[in-house]
This record gives sequence, C-alpha cells and structure tokens, in this order.
Amino acid sequence: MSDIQQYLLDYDRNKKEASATAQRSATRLKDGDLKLLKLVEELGEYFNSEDGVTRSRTMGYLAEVLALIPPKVLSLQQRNLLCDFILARTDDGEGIGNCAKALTALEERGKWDSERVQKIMETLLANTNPLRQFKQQSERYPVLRLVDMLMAKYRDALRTLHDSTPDFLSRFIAYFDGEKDPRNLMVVFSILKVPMAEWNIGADAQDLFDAVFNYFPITFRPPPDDPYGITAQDLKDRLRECIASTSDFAPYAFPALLDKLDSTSMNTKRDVLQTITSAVAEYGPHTISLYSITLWDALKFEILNVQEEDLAEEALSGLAAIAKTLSQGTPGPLNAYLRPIFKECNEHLEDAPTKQSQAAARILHRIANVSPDVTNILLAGILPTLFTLFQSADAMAKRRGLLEVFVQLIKANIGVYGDWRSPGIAGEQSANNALAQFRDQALEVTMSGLEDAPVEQVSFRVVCLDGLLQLSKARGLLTDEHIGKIIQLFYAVVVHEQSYGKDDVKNGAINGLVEIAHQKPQVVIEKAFPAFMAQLPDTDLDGSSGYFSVLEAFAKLASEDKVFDTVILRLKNKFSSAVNQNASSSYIIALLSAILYALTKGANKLEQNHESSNHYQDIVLPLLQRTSSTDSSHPKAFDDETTLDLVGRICNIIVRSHSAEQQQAVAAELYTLFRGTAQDELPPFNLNANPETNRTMVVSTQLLASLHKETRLPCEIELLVSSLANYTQQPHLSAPVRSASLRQISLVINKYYSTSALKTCMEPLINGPLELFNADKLDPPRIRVIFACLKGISLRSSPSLSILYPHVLSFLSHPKYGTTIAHGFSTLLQPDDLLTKQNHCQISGLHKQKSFALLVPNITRLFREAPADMKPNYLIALSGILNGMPFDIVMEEVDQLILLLLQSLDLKGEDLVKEAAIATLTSTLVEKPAVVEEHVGSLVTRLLANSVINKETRTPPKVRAAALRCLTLVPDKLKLEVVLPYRRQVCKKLTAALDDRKREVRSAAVKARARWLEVDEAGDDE
Amino acid sequence: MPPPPTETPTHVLCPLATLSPPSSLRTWQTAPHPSQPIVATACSDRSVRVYSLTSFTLLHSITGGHKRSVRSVSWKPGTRGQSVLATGSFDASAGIWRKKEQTQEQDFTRRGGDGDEEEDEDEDDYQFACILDGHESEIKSLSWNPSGQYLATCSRDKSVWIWEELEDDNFETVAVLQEHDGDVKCVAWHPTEDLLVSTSYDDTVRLYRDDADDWVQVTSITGHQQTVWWAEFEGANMASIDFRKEKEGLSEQQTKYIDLLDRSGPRLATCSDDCTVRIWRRRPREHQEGVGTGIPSIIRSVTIDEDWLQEAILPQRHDRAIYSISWSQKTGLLVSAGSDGKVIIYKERWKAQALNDEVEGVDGGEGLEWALTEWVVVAELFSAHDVFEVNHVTWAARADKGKRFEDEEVVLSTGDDGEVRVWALDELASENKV
Amino acid sequence: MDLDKQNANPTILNPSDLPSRRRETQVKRRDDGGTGLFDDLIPPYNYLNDPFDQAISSSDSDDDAVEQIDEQEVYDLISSISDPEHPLSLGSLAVVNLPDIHIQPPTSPHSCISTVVVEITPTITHCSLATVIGLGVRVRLEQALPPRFRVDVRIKKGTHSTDEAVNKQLGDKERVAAALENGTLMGVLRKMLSTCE
Repeated sequence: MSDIQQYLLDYDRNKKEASATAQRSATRLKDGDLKLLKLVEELGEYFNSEDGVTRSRTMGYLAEVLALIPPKVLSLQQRNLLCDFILARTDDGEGIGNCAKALTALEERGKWDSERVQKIMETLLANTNPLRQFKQQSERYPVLRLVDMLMAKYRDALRTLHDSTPDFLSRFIAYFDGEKDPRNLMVVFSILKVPMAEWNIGADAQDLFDAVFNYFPITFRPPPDDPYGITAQDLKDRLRECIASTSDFAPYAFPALLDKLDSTSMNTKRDVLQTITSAVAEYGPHTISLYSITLWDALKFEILNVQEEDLAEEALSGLAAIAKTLSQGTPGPLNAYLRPIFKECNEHLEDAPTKQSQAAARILHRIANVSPDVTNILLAGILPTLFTLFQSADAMAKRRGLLEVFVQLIKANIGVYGDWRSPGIAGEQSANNALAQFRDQALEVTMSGLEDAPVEQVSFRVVCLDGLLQLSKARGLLTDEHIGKIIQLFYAVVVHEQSYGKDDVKNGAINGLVEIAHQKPQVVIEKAFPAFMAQLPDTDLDGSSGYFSVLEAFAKLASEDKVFDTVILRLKNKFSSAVNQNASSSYIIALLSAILYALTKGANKLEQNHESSNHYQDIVLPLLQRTSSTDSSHPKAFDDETTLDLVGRICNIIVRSHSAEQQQAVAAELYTLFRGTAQDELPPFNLNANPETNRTMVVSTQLLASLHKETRLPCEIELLVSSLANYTQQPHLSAPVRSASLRQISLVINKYYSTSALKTCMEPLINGPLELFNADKLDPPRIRVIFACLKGISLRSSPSLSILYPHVLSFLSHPKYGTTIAHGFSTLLQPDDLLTKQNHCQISGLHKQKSFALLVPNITRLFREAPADMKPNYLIALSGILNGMPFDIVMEEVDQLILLLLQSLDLKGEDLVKEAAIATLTSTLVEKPAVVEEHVGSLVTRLLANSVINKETRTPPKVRAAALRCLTLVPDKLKLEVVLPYRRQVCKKLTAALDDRKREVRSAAVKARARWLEVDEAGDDE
Repeated sequence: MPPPPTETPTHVLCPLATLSPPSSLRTWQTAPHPSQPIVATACSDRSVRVYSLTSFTLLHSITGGHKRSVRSVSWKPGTRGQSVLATGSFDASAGIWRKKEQTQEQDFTRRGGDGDEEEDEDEDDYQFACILDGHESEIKSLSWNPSGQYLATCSRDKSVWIWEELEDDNFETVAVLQEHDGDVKCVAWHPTEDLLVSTSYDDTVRLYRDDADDWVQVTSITGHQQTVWWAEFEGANMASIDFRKEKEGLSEQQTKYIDLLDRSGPRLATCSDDCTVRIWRRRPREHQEGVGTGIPSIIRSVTIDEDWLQEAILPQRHDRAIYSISWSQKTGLLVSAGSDGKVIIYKERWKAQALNDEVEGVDGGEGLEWALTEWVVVAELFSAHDVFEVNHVTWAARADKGKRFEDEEVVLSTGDDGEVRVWALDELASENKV
Repeated sequence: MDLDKQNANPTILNPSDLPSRRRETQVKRRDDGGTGLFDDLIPPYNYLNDPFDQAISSSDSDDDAVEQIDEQEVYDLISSISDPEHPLSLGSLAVVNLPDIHIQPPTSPHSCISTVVVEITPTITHCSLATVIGLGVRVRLEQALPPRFRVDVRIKKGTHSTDEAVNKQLGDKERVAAALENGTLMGVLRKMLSTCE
C-alpha cells in the first residue's frame, strides 16, 4: 500500500510508526526511488476525502516528509510547485497548521523571492483571516511561527508589500485579533513589533497600538506545570517593548497609561510606571517634550504620597528618564520640564522637615544626577530659595530638613561631575559646574552649623557633617585650604567633643576623615596628622588620659591606602617614645592595639608591596628585642601574656607577608628571639626556665604561625614536637603559655610534616613515655596534647585520622576523663585565629567533611550503646563538632542527629553544648524543616524549658535568648497545622520570659511571642 | 480615698481549689447552678466550661455555639428534670442550651476525674436548643428573672432586650429598651418583683418595669463617675437573716430603720470603674409617716416612677476598676473584685456613733441620714489570681467533702488567667470580730 | 491602607534624635572614653583561652544583675509601631514620646501590680485614627509586657478634640477584648505591629 495509506493507518495506533513511514518516504524521494509527482498524486484522493481529519493528516504527512528531506533534493521548480499546491490548500478549513508547517519546511529547503513571500502573506490573509477562527492553539501556532519567520527573514519584501498595498497593514493587524493563548501571544507581539519599529505606520498607528495595548495589563498566570515555561514577566516585557517601539504611539499610549495609573491594583500601577519609563526612553526628546509636564503631574503623586515603596522608586525612574531624554534635545523643553519640578519642590521646602520635603529631596536627587544641564538647572532653581529659607528658619528641625535636600543635590551633582578621584558621567568639565556659584554660601552654612549647633542637635549636625563631606568630595570644587578647614573641624569633633547619645556625630566625623583621606590624602596628612599627634602624649605618667578616642580615630585612618604607611610610622614613633619615657602599661597596650588595628586595616597593602620589609626593621625587630630583653630596656607592660600576644600578632601580620627566604632570619631566632642565649636553655627545650622566659613562648607561637612551611626550623621537628609535648605537661605553666605551646604543636604538625610522615607523627607520643593513648595514664595535660596534634592533622584530613579518631572516641566512656575528652572535640573544628591560610597552614578544602564523616556517625552509634551516665559525653562531643561545622555538611546527617540534639537541651550545666545544639536546630529549621516536623512537640517544650530561668539549671541569658530566637522560627518554618496545637501553650509559657531579668532575653521573648500570637489569627475569624 | 476603717480584717479567704483543667484563655464570668452543685464559666475561647463544685473538675465543655468569646452565662431557674443555660457572646447572639438532669450527682465527680471534655453526643451532653438574634453588637451580659419567664440581654449596641419564653425554645422579644447612651454592661433582676436593672458605659444605672404590657424605664440612677460594670440586688427578706435579725437592745431609731428598709425592699449594689461600690435604696411609696421628706413621694406614687437613693459608698479598697460584686443571700456579706486582682469582703453593721453625727459627706445626702448602718471590710485578699485581673466574683453553696456547716458558702473568682478559683471564708480567731 | 488620610503630610523626626538606650550604657561601658574599636582585634575564639577550662566555667555570672523594665524599654516596644496611614513609625512621628511614658510601682507591699501609663500625641487634633493608634499601643504592650503590668493608654491632654471619649474607650477592657476579635480591625493592627522589632 502507499506510504500515505500506511501513515494514516498508523497515525492513531502509533504515531512513531507513522513518522517512520514519513521518514521512509523522505529517503525514497532522496534516493529517487519515489518521484515527487507520484507522492503528490497518492495524496490526491486523501486531500479530496470527505473527512477533514484525514485531509489535515495528509497535509501533516506532507509536512513531515518535507521536513525530513535533506536540502538540495528538491529543485527550485519542485519547491515552487509544492508551495503553490500547499498555498492552494490553505482555503481548506482543516489542516491550516500543517500547511504552515509544510511551508516552513519548504522555506528551510530554499529561500524564497519577494513575490513568493508576498504571495504567501496575501494568501494567508485572504484564506485564513482572522486567525482566531481556528479554535486549536496548535493550529494557530505554526501559522504564527511561519509569519514570524517571514517577518524575520523577508523584512523588505513585506515592507514593500505594505508600502504598495494601502489596506495591507489594517488587514494584517486584524489577522491576529483576539489571540488569547500566551504562547501564541509571545509570537504575535514579536511579529507586530516589526511594523511598529520599522514601517511607516501613519494612519494605522492607533489600530496597531490598540492591537497590543488591549492586552495591558497582562494578568495571565502560567499553570504551575507550564511546558513552555512562559512567565507573565516574559509577556509583560514583550508587550512593553511593543508599546515603547515607536513614538507614533505617544498620543495614544500616554493618555491610556496615565488613565490606568489610577488603578487600585499595585501590580497594574507597577506595570504602567515601568512601561512609561521604557516608552520615555524610546520616544525621543521631541515627542517627550509634549508630554513631560503631564507625566510629571501624574507621577509625582506616587512619590509625594508613597503607597508602596517600589512604586515610588518606579515613578522616580520615570521622572529621571524624562529628564534624560529631554537633555538629549534642545534646552527649551528641558527647562520647561524642570521649572514646575523645582517650583513644587521649593514649596515643599517651606514646611520642611515633612514627609513631602523628604519626597522632594528624593525627586531632586534622582533627577539631578541625569546630566550636567539638569543638575545645573536644578541647583540654580533650588539652592537660592533653600538658603533663604534656611536663614529665616527658626526651628532646627526645619534647617535640618532643608540641608537634607541640599545634601541630596550635591550627591547627585557629584554623580554628574565626579569626585577628586574620578570624573563623573559628564567627563572632565567641572569648570561649568553650577555648584561653584553656591560654594561659599554652602560652606558657610554647613560649617557654622556643625560648629555652633549644640551637641543635642544630633541629626542637624549629622546633616551638616554629611554636607561638608560631600562638598569636599565634589571634583574641583573646594581648595585644599577649604578641605583643610573641614578636616580640622571633623578632627575637633572626634577628639575634643564629649561623647553624646549614639555618637552619630563623632562616628560620622571619623568616617568623614577616612573618606576625605581617600579623596585628598596629602591634605589629611598635612592638616590632621599633626593635630592628632599633638593630642597623643609621649607618656601618660602626667596622668593625661582621653588619648584613647584619639588613637581609635587615628588608627581608623589606616584603612585608607594612601595614608596607611604614614599612620603606621607615626604610631610606631609614638610607641617608641612612650616606651622610652616608660609610660603606663595601659597606654603602651593602647598604642600596640592601635598599631595592630592599623596593620590589619592595611593588611592587603602589606601583601603586595614589600617595603613592609622596613616594617620588619622598624617594628618587628625592636619589638622582639624588647620582648626578650631582661635589662632596663624591657618594658613592664611586656611582663603580661596579653601584651605579648599583641606584640606577637603585630610581628605575625608583618612577617607572614614575607617570602620564605626573608623569613629565615626570624625562623632561626624563633625561640632565642635575638637574645643571644643558647636555644636549649630556653623553652620548650628547657623545662625549668623562669616565668619571664616562659612567657615569650606566646610571641614565638605567633612567629611560628607566620612562617612559610618551606622555612627551616631551629631544630628538627620530631624533637621539637616531643619537647613541646613534655613542656606543656608542666603543671606550673600559666594557662596562656600552655595554650600557646600546645598551639605550636598543632602548627608544627600542620606545616612541617610531609604527608607521609604525617601518618605517623603521633607515634613517638603514643609509644614514648607519654603513652598518650594509655587509658590508665590519661589525664588533662595528655588530653590537651592529643587534641593539639589532632588539630594539626585534621586540617590536612590525613588518612591517619581514621585510626586516631576511634581511639579518642573510645575514651568518651572513660570513667574519669570522658567529659574532658568530650570537651576536646570543640577544639578540633572551631574557627581558629592561628591555623589559617594567611598563616601558610595546610588546610584541605574537605577537612571538615572528613572529620564529620569519621566522627559523627560513630558518635550517634556509640551514643545508643553507651551507658546512661556516659551519654552526656557523647552529646557534648557532638555539639563540639557541630559548633564549627558548616550546616550544609551537617544537613546530610541531621535527621540522625535530631534526637541527640533535643536531648542535649536537657543536659544540666552544659551551656555551651546547649548553645551549639540550639544553633544546629535553628539551622535545621531553616534549611531542612521537614526533619524537625515530627519532633515539634519535644522541640517546643525543650526550647520553652530553656527560655526561662529555673532554679536548678541556671540557664544563662545567652542560651535563654538563643532558645527564644529558635522558638520564633518554628512557626515561620513549619506548617500551620503542625504548630497550631502548641500556640496557646507557647504564648502562655512565654509570659514568664517576658519578665526575664535580662533585657536581651526579654526582647527575644517579645519577638517570639508576637510571632506565635500571629499563628492561626489568619484563618481565625469566621 | 477615705481613711481605711480601723478594724483589722476579721476573716480571711483561704484557697480551696482551682477548677481544673483551667481554660488556656481568659475566662469572663462564672454562674452557679440554682439547684445543683455545678457552675458554668464563660470563656473567651468561644466555649462554656461546666465544672463540678464537689470534685472541682471539668464536666462539660460546651463548644461550637458561638463565633466569638462567650461573655456571659445564666442558668434558668426552676427548671424541672433538665438544666437550661443561656449564653451571651461577642458574636452578638445569645444561645440556649438544654441538658437532661443527672439523676445522681456522683456521676459527675467520677466522670469529672478524667478531665477533658465529653465528646459523646448523647443525652448527658448540653444540646444546642436555639439562638436569639437581634443585637447589633457584642452581648455583654444576660440574666433570667427569678420566675424564669423572662431573659434579659444587653449589648454594646446600647440596648437592653427582654425575651419571653412562650414555650420551649420559642422566644418572643417583649421589649427593646434604648435608654442608655453607651454600652450596656450588665443586666440583673429584682428577687421578688419584675424589676430589671441595667448598668452602662454612660455611667448610669437604670431600672425598668412592666407598665401595662409595656416595659418602661422607672428611674435613672446617677452617682458613679465612670462606667458601671455590675449591679446586683440584695436577697429577699434579708432582714430576717443578716445582722438585722438580732432585735435585742435596738434603739427606736434602729427599729424604725429596719422597718424602713423592709418597706424599701431589697437594696441594689453597683460597682464601677471609679473604684467605688455603692448601695442604693428605693424610697418607699405609701405611708409617709417616718419618711421625713415624704410629701413628694405621695405625689409620685400615682406614677410608676421610682426614686432610688444612694445609701452608702463601701470602704474603698480597690485602686483599679471594680468589675464585679456579689451579695450573699445567706449572710448578707458583699464581695467585690476587679482589675487590681483583689477580692474584698464587706459586712454591714450598726453604726457605733450617735444618730445626729455627720455622716460621710457624700452626694445625694438625702436618705443617707437614715443610713444607721455602715459597711466594714472583713477580709481583703491580694493577687487572687496571681498577677491577673479578676473579672467576676460570686457566692456559691459549698458542696465538697470539706463542707463545714449547713448553708456554708464559697467565693468563686474568675480571672484573666483562665482560672476559676474557689475560696472558703474563715473567721480569724480574734476578739474584735463584729 | 483603606483609611482615608487624616494628615497627609506629617512632620518627621530624624532617627538619630529619637531617645535610645545606648547613651548611658556607653558611658558605663568604657571609662577610657574609647568606643571599643580595638576590642575585637583579638577574636573571641582566641587560641589563648583554654577550651577545657572554659567549658567547665561558662555560666556567666552577670546573670544575677537584674535589668528592670523601664520607660525606655517601653518606648522601644511601641515607638517602632507604624502609623496606620503613613509608612512611618510612631516614634518618628512623635506620636509616642519618652517623657510621656510612666511606670508606677505597686500601690501596696502586698501587691505586685505595676502600671504603665502611656500618653500618645496624635499627629493632628482631630485624627479619627487616634483610637486605632491607641489600641495598637495597648495591644502591643499587653502582648509584650509581663502580665504583672497594667497598661493605661491615654491621649495626651489637650492634644485631641475628643480625648476623653477616646481615653474611656481605650480604658475599657471589654471593648478592647471585643475589638481584638474583629478581623478587619485586627488586620489593621497587625499591619501596624508588623514593623515592631
């Protein structure tokens, strides 16, 4: 039987089969086994069939075949023949979709000439107009795709068709009338956009506009499982492009849009505003000049009486867009547009500070940074009135309100003309910045404002300060003298003014100085630095105090690259003189802190440039010598671990940026610290060194931390580790020195052991006299060493962990020290300020996963087996691990952990554990609420129990607050029906927490209760 | 505030029990059953909770009737073989509920044991009978008259409605009284006459009676400075029960006074946001003899109007709004409670001082000259419901095993904490008791 | 907000002028006059402190120091409520002001009931929303303060045409209770309170 027969036969039973047949026909055509003529003949009878479906499918068959024929098989003549044939069929009410497919397939097999394209278009319009007569979306869609393709590929052909045939466009527009299907609409919009954008549409403009605007605003919501993934947004965007496509629409678009702006639906308003903005951007200055004022009158209300914040924003962008478009044209229209604006704004300034004066500020700010012309016009229009009002204003509040507007204007102005560092959008033309004319007046007002207003006038002075800052930033506006004055003013506020309120002014001034330093470093260095230095005594023995705030402010300046080095230098000098004139420890510590702070601020700068080597000469060496010195040059302040830690950190931050070679000098003196004493007389090698010497271990630790692993240590590492291990066993060591030394173990192991050596690095300690893993010898000092080693190893996620961890876990049931071991786990993964990448440590990216995988499942297992009195240890260990663990790692296991976590909340006295447990539960609620759901009951009751003080377990405020915060999340994260049953209980119990003795806890309780009270209210009424 | 009386309290309120389980939300009012040892409590969780006074446990929780808080409950008196309960709610409707009477009382206690509400939908549950619609806004109070013929309701819509039950569940509105110009907070009936009292947000107290099938206001009592929250009449012929029954050694004045009170009939007590409790007495109608300024009363006697005089302001012990008072029909003692969480008990007694003495200089002085009695505080209880407000107090017959004598009463206090607490009044072993 | 605007253009206070707690705490916190800039130079998990000791001795002692609920705290509770007709806080509109908040101690040693009196100042004298605002304040405080506090919210004398009437309403427990069961009104209140932190 013929292929078409076969095809039609299979069609219903098995579409695949049918298509296979089509494929076969295609191949046979290609191989010449089947003549095109023959094929068409065979189709004949079916095309004449009574049954529409058959006719349609027959065309479908043809379409499929054509689509499958390789290019060049069909001759031009054959294609034309087919084309005419198919076109002829388009008057058949059935199978139009397949016709379109067939045509599309044909076109893919050879371009058409203009006449043909025009013929196709005309035939479609003649035979299938309007398209909506075909009820099936699937019928219309191929046609639309066809037309769209023609529009895309044969623009000129169709354009000429339009130019030559008067009524073409109107028929064309009508053709798509009444399309409802979103997928089709997407195509229609893109089709219509072509004539809109490219044709001369003259009389048809309105019809064309209506054709698309009828769909405004798009309210369609795609089905959740929409196969084409077309979103309402896609449609909105295309529709908006259409409306914005030609200024010919302006006469219809703006009235229609503004009319819709009165809608009560926020979404419609949002659509309207966005469409206006894009239309304004496209229509061009001439057209916009006709509507600018009308638009202003309409848009301003969205800003003056804000309904929804984002609507106000849209309206602002609209106004800005108008200004932008107009400033591309002649000055006339621009002025015409801006005049009513600054008129109105001036009116609102009259009764500043009000909602509307604030709105005015917003408007001005947004419009003024559009272009030089605009900002100049506005400044000229606003500032004179503003300053007169300012002078006549009696209330401080009003003056503040006015200056707020002023500041917005300058900010905008900077946007246009740029600041000292970089020109603005206007490029290099600060010369004709209108702001210049108002410079002196502005300075006068703001300076005296900041200087003379009483400290209680916080907000007013803050605005003045901001104004001054902006002025000093404005490119080419102020002279260095001016800026110098401002700097001194700020400086005075920082240093001489007494603290008031939240210190908004002081902080503002400091940050102001930093910003100015960014703009004009030299001026700051010349004007401000001497003053600062003058405020810092060489010694405070004369009882001078209050230097602290000065130090803080000065150190802050270091965050600005251009002054960083100078800050460091001055601080260092201050420090040396303070030490020489043996100032008080507190002053020396303050100075050290300032230096450290400054260095951290400029850390990145240290990284790149290596003139930090003079920092080494100037700072590190002297400090180290002072540390180790025993003679009179040794400052008393240095006899204290925290000071030495500061010293250590300063050296660390400088040294660590050096290359391994540079570091070698320090590495060699790691323990001797340039004392000139033999190393083995010193800790950790000498077990009976005196306290002073022991203390210097704190500095050595920081130095060790700063070294590259390529550096050579002053002794070989096994010896070092074992010496350190023994050293830390000494009972008389001070806690800081002990921890410091333990940390050295971690550092050495982490940095200096080769991967292979690492596996066995603990052997000497386990087998040696220490017998670390001997349960009978176990004691706190040993436990500390164990974890110090593990810390270094775990960061490198060495395979040896899989042997080591089980050992340690087994100790969790140790009758005497199980709990101590348990607490050790918190040290393993908690964030650490020494073992870091910056300190050149070896940190494997997956070390946390590794430890988690090796520890947590075992703990959960052992927990079940453990005797009741030991169980707490496992909970403690668990929380210790979870503490430093990113939640996405925990997430996998969390359903296993949830019960343990809940039980941790019952522990007595283990507050850190509870904190950790609550933290994990909180993240679980956020990330994986489903897990918690079934445990809601016990979660809620336990959280409640921990949120109120009770006698026996004195839950500390931190835990109470944490519990409450977690409780607040519960209704947010879990389904209503799940939490509803607990609402009353919770609300009632929480009244107790409302009366907590700690404010922090109370406010957490308030939030939690408020949240729970909301539960169910929704569906509550009727 | 007048100086507190010199007497130290002679009694003390001892906690007997908290009806359990309590409601988790605010409870408004508790009404003791006229004949059985049970109470009904109006809860803002839209339910009514029925507790036993013998076991102090929950017997029934009546739910599903109202869409908003149940504000007020009242048992229909004199019902045979069944209990009838009226409930007034913030949803502006009143509900009528019926339940076949339990034969023997023990059932309650036993079932009460297992706490929570009865689900079984059979006889021994309160069945919803009918709903009374009409008020435009929240019903604040409702009350059956002693004969059970009338049910009065009042609402924020400023009106008082009187419903008459023609036959079971067929209620007819016999009056809509709109005298008040503010929320009507409370309605209550005279123990022997068809005389209705209402108190209001407009600071007034108004009395109504049936005048030829037409209910009319017979007087408006002013005196309170703030919202009047509650009113209650004195029991019938208390003279033969309270301190007045001791006729021995009474002065002629005192005897006259007793007689006067007798002709006035039961007195009225009201309490208010102004922190006062006031006692009002009707000026008797006929025979002016003895009534000093009797003349006007003769003229008025033809009309239906009445004249009520303020007889006393009780010692002021509350420093916030007084929400509720109750007048014992067994002892004549008065109990008050309110926002400050206190429960105060007052006793009336003969004035010690000579007749011609100045009496407390309070307004409406007329009639006060006749007040030969004074009220003293016999018991003062702080924080009856911990830190919470007390919305209602009432006397009820004691029914638990601990009952000490015939007619012993307990005080029931109903609080914002959702609890109803039961208090026994114990005499302090002290000489100077009155 | 479907309520029609009573005062379309109210005066607005600047946040930094609003009363705040940090003032005294700051003075308390540092005798050296600094702002604590250098405090976090050394991270809290500083390697020098010993996890083994720390874990044992970690219940913080200052828990005994009681911080009483004071006027500032009440202010903080209600100043962040937003005005029903402006997206602005009652604090910044000066509807609630610290000096108009008073906490009265219990009237007798036997009682533990304290009273919070808040006087509110409506943005304009005939603002019909005064009641709603007052209700919002009362509800917020009843939800956020422990029940031992009685809350009295009043319109500040002479700032409002019908202040007596409004005060009586706000003082009426029964009316407030009923109002809270009214869905639409609750909607408005919830919106007002949604900005509270």
